[in-house]
Amino acid sequence: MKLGLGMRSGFLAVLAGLATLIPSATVSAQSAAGPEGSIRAGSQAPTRAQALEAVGAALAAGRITEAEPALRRLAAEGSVRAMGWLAKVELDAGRPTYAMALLEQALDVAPHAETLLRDYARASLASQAPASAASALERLLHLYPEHGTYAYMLGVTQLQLGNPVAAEAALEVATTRLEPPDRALLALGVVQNKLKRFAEARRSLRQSLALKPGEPEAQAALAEALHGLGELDPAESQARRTLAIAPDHGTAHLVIGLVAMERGDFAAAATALEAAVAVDPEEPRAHYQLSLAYARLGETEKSKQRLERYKEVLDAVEAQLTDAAPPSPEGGER
Amino acid sequence: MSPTAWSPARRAAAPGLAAAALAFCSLLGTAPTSAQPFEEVTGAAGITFEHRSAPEKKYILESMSGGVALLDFDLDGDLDIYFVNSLTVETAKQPKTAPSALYVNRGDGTFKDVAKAAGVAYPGWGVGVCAADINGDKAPEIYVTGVGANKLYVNKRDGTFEEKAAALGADVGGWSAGCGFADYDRDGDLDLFVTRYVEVDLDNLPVFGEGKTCQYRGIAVQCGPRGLPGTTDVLLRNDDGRFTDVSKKAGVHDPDEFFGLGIAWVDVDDDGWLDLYVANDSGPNYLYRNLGDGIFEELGFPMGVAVSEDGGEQGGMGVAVGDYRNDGRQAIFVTNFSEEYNTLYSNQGDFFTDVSFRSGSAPSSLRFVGWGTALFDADNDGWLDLTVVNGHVYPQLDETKLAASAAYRQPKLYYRNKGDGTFVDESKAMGAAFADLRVGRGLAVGDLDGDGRLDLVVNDLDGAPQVLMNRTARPGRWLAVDLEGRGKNRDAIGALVTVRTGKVERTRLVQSGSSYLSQDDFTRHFGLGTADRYDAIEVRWPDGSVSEHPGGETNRTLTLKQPDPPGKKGSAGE
Repeated sequence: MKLGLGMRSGFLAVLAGLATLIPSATVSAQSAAGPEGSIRAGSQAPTRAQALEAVGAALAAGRITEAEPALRRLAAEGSVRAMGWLAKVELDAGRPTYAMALLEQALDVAPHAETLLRDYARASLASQAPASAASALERLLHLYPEHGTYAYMLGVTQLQLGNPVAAEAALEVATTRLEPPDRALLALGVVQNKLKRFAEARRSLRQSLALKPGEPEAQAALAEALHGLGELDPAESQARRTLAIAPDHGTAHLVIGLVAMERGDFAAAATALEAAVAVDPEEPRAHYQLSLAYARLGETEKSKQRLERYKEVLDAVEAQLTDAAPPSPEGGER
Repeated sequence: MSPTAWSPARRAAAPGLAAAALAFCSLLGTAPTSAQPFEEVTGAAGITFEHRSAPEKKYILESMSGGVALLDFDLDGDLDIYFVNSLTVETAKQPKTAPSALYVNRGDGTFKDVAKAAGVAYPGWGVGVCAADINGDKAPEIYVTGVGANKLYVNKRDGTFEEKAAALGADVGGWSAGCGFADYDRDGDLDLFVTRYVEVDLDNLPVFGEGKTCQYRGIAVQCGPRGLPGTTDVLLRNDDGRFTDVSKKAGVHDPDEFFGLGIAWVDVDDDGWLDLYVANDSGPNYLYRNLGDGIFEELGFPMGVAVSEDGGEQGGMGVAVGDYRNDGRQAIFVTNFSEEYNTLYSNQGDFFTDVSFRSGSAPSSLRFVGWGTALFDADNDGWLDLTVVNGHVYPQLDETKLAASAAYRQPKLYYRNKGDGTFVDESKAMGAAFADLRVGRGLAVGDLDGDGRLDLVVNDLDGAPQVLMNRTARPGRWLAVDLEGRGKNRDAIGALVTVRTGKVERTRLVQSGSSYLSQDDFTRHFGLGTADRYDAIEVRWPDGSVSEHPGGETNRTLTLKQPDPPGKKGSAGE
C-alpha cells in the first residue's frame, strides 16, 4: 500500500504550521538567571554563571545580535542552557537543521529536559524530519502524560509519517486531555476516515463541530465520512456547506466528485474533480478518480494524462514518506 | 429438442456416494445439519497433512506458500484433495523433508494420502496449484508452482501421474505463484498463465530486519516484497501439447515486474474472449483485456480494478470472481494486506466500481491479511456469499501488540449475501471453525460429500489444514452442473453456465486457478432457494458456441456435453 493516500486530503491545513503549534521555549529573564543545572553544579566558574545571566537577559530583551557571540562561546563550552537558547535562535532564524544538532547534543546531557525536547520536536518538524519529532514527542508524552498538546502533536506527526494507527492512539489520548478538544477530535476524525472507520469518524467530527461549528476542515472531513458510509445526499450537502464557507476546499470538491461518480454522472464528477485537483494538485486520490471519470466519458487521452499525473503525485507522496520514515526501527512498511 | 440430453447426477449415480454423505456425519456422530454451519472434520476424516514452514519466517519465501486443489483425479466421481507443501531456506535442498499430499476421497467420509504412490509428493518448494485436463482424456492434470522449476503432473488415468513440465515446456522457473489454464486463443486447447512474485537468490537472501523494507511498525521482520526485485509473469501457449512462451507477444509479461500472486481468467466484458486478472502484491493489479487476436491490452486503471477507490496500491493476494448480484456480470473480489481492505469491484458492464464499503464486505477485513477467498452460495439461497481466510506474514507480531493489525493467527471471515448488492458479516455465527485463529493461505471450494452443500478446504501456512464440512441447516435447493467440452478442453474451462428459475438468472464460470493459488472444483454449483424446478440452462462454451437446455428438477447433478457443430454428426447429449 502506498503510505500516504487519504492522509493528505482535508488535512493539509492541519499539518500546515504544525511546528508553530508546539509552544516554544521562551527565554525569560527569570529562566536566564536560573541555575545552570545539576551537571555543572559545584564546578561552574562564577564567570560562566554571570555570562549566562547576561546572555539570558539580552535574549529576553530581544537583543539577539548582542547576545550571540557569548551564546555561541558558552554553547561550545558545553553549557546545556546555552545550547538550548542557541538552538532556539537558530530555529527562529530558519536554520532548523543546525538547531536539531545543537539540541541533540544538549539532550545527550539532559535527556528529560522538557524545554529541550519540545524545541527538538519543533526543530524536527521544521526540518521535515517527523520521525525525529515523533520520537521527542513520545518522550514528552511519557514524561508528561497529562499534557494533551503533546499527545495531539504526536498524533498529527504520526499521521504525517503515514502511521494512522499510532496517530489514532495518540489522538484518542489528546481528546481526553485537551480543553477544548475540538482540534483533537477533528484530527481523530480525519485519522478515522483514513482508517475507513467512517461511523467513528462521523461521531468524532460531529463532536468537533459541536464545539467549533464553523471549522471548514471538520465540515469537509464530515462530508468524507458520510460519503464513506454511503450516505450520498447528506455527503453532498455537507460538502456544499463546506464550500459555502471555504470555496477552495479540495476535500469538499473531491467528495462532490465522488458522489457524482457513484451516481454515474461522470460529467459532473469530472467538473468537481477538476476543481479538486486545481485546489490541491498534490492529492493523488482526486487525480485517480478524475482519470476514471474521463475514462467513463470516453475521453481516453485525458484519462491517460490524468493517470500519469496521478502516478507522479503518488510517487512523490511515497518518496516524501520514505524520506520521513526513520531508517530503523521506527517505521518501515511492507 | 435440445442438442444435449441430461445425464443423471454424477455423484448421485456413483455407488455409495449417497451413503458417503451420511458416513461423513455418522463418523463424527453428528446429524447432517448442525448448529454450526461449518464443522471441521480434518482429523476425523483421516487428514494428517501438515504444511511446514520455518517458524520464524525470516525470509519472505517462507510466508507465501499454501495452495490447495479439489479435483477428481481418480475419476471415481468424488472430490479428492491436493495440499501443496513448502520447504524452508534451511531445507531448500532436501525436497523430501516436506511432502505434499494427495488425499483420495474414500467415499465413506475419510481420506487417504496417496501422494507418494501417485508420484506427486515431492514437487520441490511448492507454492500454488491449479488443475485442468490438458490432453482431453477426461483426467485432470495437476500443475504445481514453486521456487525453482514448476511441476506438471500428467494424469495417467491409473491413479498415478508423470511429471512432464520440462518435457512440455511448462517448468517456467524463478518463483512462481498463481497459475490457471484457459483457452485464451480459442484454438481448442488449454494455455497456461503463471504469475511470478519476487526474484530470489537462495544464496544471497536479504537479511532479516535490516533496512526500511525489513521493518513493520518498528518490529524487525522479513524483508519484502517492497525493496526486493520483482519479476515477470508468463503466458504459455499450448501448441499441440507443448507449451510456448508468448508472454511478450501477448502483452502480459508484466514489464513493470510487479509482485504477482492470484489470478482469474474471466470474460469481464462479455465479448466471448477470456480476459485475465492478476492480483499484484504492493502494486496495481492488472486487467488484461483479450483483444481476440492473441494480444491483450492492460486496462486495470481505466476499468477501475487496479487500485483502491482512494487510488491506493494494495497488497493483492487472492482473487474470487462471481455473479454476486445475479445480473450475469462477473465481479472481482481481491484479498489484501492488513490495514487495507479487501476490495470488491462490481462489474458495471463497461467498467468496474469499487463497492467494498457500500457492499459491507470491507470494514471487518481491515485488521486482517486476506488470502484464500471464494464467492460461493453457502446456504443455497440463490445468492453468492463470500468467505476469506486470513493470517499474517510476520510471526513477530505476537511479541508485540499492535492495535490496528490482528495478531499472526487470525480468524476467517464470512459474509452472507443479502440479495440487494450488500453483504452482512456473519463470521461469528459460523462457529468455532471460523473463529479458530489460524495462518490461512489457500482455500478451495467443492462439495466433498455430494450432499448439495459446498464445503471448504483450507491450507494453512503453519500446521494442519482444515476440512470444513457445510452443515447448514435448512439449506435451499441446488443444482450442480458438470460440463464436458469438445476436444482437448474436456472440463470446458472458461465456460459460462446460466441457470434460469423464473425471472432470475444465475451465472457461474468454470475456472482453472482461483482464490489464493488454489483450485476449486470444476463442477458449477447453483443454490436455487425454494425452487423445486429450474426453467432452463444456457451454456456459453469456451469456443463461443452457445447451447440451450430445458428445465428440470433441482437437487441433483447434471452433466452437459457440448454439442457438435452444426452439420457434424457426433456425440451430442449425455
